[in-house]
Amino acid sequence: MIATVVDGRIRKLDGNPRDPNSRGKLCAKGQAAINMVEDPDRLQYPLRRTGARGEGRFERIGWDEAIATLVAKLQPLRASGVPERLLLLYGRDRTNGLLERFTDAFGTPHKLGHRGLCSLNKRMAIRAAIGDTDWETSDFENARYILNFGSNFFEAHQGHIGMLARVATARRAGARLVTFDVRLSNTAAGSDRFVPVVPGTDGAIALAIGHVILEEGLADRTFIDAWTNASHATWRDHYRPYTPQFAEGVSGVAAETIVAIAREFASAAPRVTTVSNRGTHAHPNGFYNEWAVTALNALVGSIGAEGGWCYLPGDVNRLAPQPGPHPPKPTLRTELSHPRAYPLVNELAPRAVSSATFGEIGKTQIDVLLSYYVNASMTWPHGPSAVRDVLLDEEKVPFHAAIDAFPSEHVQLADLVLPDATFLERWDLDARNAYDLRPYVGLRQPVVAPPGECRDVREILGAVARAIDPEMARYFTHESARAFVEDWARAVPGGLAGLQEMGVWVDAAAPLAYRPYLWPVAVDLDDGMTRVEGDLVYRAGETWPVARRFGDGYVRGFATADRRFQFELARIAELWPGGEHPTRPTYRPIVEHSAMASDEFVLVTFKWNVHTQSRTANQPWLMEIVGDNPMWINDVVARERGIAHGARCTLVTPSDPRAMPLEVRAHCTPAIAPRVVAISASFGHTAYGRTARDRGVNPNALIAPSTDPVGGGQAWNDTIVRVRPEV
Amino acid sequence: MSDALLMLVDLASCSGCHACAVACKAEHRPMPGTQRLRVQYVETGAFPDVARSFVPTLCQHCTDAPCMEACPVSAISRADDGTVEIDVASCVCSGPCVSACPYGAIAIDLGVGAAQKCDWCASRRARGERTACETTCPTEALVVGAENDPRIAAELARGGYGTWEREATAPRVRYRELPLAIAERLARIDGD
Repeated sequence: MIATVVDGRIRKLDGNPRDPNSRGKLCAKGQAAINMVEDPDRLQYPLRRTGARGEGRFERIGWDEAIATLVAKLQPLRASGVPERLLLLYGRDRTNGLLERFTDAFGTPHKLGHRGLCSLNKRMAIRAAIGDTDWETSDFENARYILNFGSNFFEAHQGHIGMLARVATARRAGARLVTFDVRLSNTAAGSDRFVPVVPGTDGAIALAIGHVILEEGLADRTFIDAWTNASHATWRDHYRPYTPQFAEGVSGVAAETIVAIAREFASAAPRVTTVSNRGTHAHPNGFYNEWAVTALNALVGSIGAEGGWCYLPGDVNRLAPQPGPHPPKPTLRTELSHPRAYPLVNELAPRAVSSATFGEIGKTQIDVLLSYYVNASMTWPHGPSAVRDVLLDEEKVPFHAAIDAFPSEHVQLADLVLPDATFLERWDLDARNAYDLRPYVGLRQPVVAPPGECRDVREILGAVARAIDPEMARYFTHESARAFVEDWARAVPGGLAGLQEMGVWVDAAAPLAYRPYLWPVAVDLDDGMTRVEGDLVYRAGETWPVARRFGDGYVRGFATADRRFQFELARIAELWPGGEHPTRPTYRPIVEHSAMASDEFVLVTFKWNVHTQSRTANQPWLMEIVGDNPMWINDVVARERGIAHGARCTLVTPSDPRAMPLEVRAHCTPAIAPRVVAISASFGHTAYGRTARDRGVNPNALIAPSTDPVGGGQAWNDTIVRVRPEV
Repeated sequence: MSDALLMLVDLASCSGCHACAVACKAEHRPMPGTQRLRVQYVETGAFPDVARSFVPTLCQHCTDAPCMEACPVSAISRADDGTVEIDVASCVCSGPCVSACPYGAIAIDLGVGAAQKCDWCASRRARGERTACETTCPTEALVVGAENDPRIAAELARGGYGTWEREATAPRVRYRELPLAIAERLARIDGD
């Protein structure tokens, strides 16, 4: 992003043309970030609570007192050997390792975020299947056929502008985009074909597509036999029951549609890819749905292919390691950090079962909650009810400090408030998975001074760490964020000066991430450090292979237990010896959905292109475009039930006594499936400043914490509601 | 007029993302509650055969511009590049241009003390930059250029370009894949 600044104020924001993902384009939210910086209701000074917790009464204090207050709460935990009584809860962590450095140095395993509410089931499936990454970076620009299961990447997806731009280019060159969804999202509307589905049945559709590909001889047998951990015959046998007719009965998608899409997908391979997100995985069967979707790419050999389903790491710390020393990782595991019910998550994505967090606070003792840029009482399931109750409970949360730039609902529940700088006012190095398929490092630097006494979070946590004790201080030696980032940038050619000139550094010498599993690995069998078992290569003393023999040499393969794509996960059978969970991609029906009464609907949530989950309703330029979130309901169904467009309705969840009934207006539209109602996120604030407050509703009041038992991700799109029109 | 400007909007590429509208807002800072560029959504069909069209709407820079005729003080004129421009110094905020515009593209901005509308970013173009909307459009659905610019000519040669023409005003904004049934359902930009 490039800012034009006039007299200390941002005049205009533009994308940086050198950024390999955005290529100089910004979305509406990026353009509106000026509103965020200049929000008149921003937090500007450290605050101390004066009234009862949650009452919203605070007084201004100085930074010295604020830091001393927090240090006085934290120091005793380390001094008495119970550092795990600190919980650092974060929402969006774009601090690139700072928060983890703090909790590691402090000695607490409790650095917990919102991943389980976001993308965990998908990440788990990809991590389990390929090992190398937990997210795909498809080569959209060169794709010929894109099969989208429940992602709304025209509006909201991780790095969606880079995706959207490339998909648009590919479509102008003739690529086709097919979208399965329960609602006509803008992505579905912009697709060549929109195929409505019953919520949570994407896995059945993906398996049936696989069935057609295998039965009609359209699979890439070479890839399957060489690069997956099952034979072609095993795959075919496994997919045999998943006929298109079976999937039609489950998903509502006509069998002939499934057959046609399967043929189109396979015939365009390997320049094909799937894309998926919460429509597929935010369900109790999300892990298996995602695994089935990912497996389609293995079936047709598009994994790593030009125009196919590619993958490369997006962590800035791989390309630019941070200045040391680095604190040791805490070894303690608690029920809060590693809940025993989720053993596979604890192995593949520890500390990520966010839905379980608030039920566990109090059972696992927490003395200090330090919140960073998180609005749990808005965004968590049961946020405005059960989560808020936990945060109000001074026995469960004896002390709560919040670092944030805005007066969120969550900040209202703090005892101490530390005002943060926004992303346009602070220093960092940053990177994402690059859709140009080469890693890069980007610079974030202040373009304006923050208002009042806001401070860069790096400086806040550094000051706290240095005041706690000398051992913690060892890991936070840089007093200023700039000095740290300057030191960090030495890892990049050109250093900070180069980054300030260009904004990004792209590793142009890196190979494009095509078929990384075929990249050669130098193996010296005589070095005394290497052993070979079967076709797998191990380093001495290690039980996880690092390469495999392939053809005449050694190659990387996939970062899994046998260096192959995992069609079978024996680990699931080991972790659940009772056989509770299948070891192959499988469709698991959502039983509650099949038992719905005629007046019940599945409630789903979604995001608009002009809003984030909970951090944009304070921005007038965005609120002028979308400033409310009525309930989408199918127009024909609404008419049958006597619900007029704009009519007030009450939503109740019969099976969930803790849920709060929700009053909402009806938006009657043909753009949603008959048994589904949809309410967007982003609204229903009771705080967050004058622009955000009292606009729309918060659907999370109705949605209970509920997870996929294997993947650990929140089942956002499965709450069964009754719609009662106001009479 | 072959060096006169046109705007081409490829609706087959537009994703409805509103980035153009907010970029416009940031660039020009119109009065709160007003937009010079508004992306309209039009839903058609019945479930499951339902569709949604996205149409960025803005001053059409009409060749036969009703606003020019309506202005009692001749503050609205055609520039050499074909754009319709408002002279802020001459404008007396009398307002007939607002209702004369069939597209609802003009608003009286009392802060500025003049009628205001899209000028295809005259100030940016004077600096050699592209319009704010074109610069940020992620799908490159918008382009402003001279009729004789090879880029424009090549894009027009793809075919399928027509206009949103509420009256016979000969707009200089051309839309690709804008069926009449959708065009007829577009509202005035100012929503009135």
